[in-house]
Amino acid sequence: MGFLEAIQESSFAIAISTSDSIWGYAFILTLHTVGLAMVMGASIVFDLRVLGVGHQFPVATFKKISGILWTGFIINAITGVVLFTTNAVTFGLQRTFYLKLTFILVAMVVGVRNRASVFGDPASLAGNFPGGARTLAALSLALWIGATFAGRYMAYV
Amino acid sequence: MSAFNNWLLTTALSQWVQGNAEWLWPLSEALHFVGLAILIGIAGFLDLRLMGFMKSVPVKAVKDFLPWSFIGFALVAATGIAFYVSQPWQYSRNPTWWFKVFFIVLAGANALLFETALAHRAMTLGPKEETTLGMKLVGATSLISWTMVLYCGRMLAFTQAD
Repeated sequence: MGFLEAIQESSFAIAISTSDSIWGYAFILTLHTVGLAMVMGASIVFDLRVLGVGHQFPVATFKKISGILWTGFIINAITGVVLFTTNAVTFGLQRTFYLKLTFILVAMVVGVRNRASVFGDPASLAGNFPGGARTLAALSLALWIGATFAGRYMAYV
Repeated sequence: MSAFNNWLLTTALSQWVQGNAEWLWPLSEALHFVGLAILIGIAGFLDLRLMGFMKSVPVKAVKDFLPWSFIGFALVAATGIAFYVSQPWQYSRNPTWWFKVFFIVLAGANALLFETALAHRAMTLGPKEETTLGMKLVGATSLISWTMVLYCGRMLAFTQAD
């Protein structure tokens, strides 16, 4: 038995995928969508601010509420691993799955870097963002949309 | 309901979605999820301020983002309609779908209540100013309703009637 088969046939993965409890597979999948709304929602609002929306909103406040973004990310990392185990053979060999992971990884790196440079720059904190910050914000939006698309298409390819 | 669903299935829109489901359905689902992230992300942002978080920010500065949530709403509404018109029975026979509709209506009525009765006053609230109990309730109702819409929407695939 291969590695992916071993994961999918593990008692943990089988318990999740065969549970007929409302707190089983369906609930974990739903939590994954709640996490998506948190991490992507928080990213979208920050990116929109950098791109010129809501210019009266104090930029430094985003630093205080970054817990929403990270909570969503952690929820999705955990639920994502659990969901993977239940379908390891399919997802582990699926190009769309790795495309999704790449989109998320790059989106997080772009987001973390852009937030750090914005929070460390007095001009940005005053709402005057350099062109680079705006480019990264637009890129972040595109990457999250890409990650969502790849995630949804995993059920179809 | 029966006559309405049967009529829907004969409409050109329904026929078009059914005939193109192979590419249109996955695309609509992806757009539905992008839309929910935009809608809940931005609406939830204002809800948090109304509930009393981010108190250093004037309410108006948060509400300036709200028009952008309509992009999310337009995406979920358009794709949601495409789903329903092409498979009306799959949804109308599913109790979870009716719960979803209930929470959409609740979220909508709640937003209308905010706009008509509370928004004017809320827009005058500057930094450090406390929102009223009514605003807190409206914010919490909105956040809970949209989360329940998401929950029911995701769950309805698992509670389908045969």
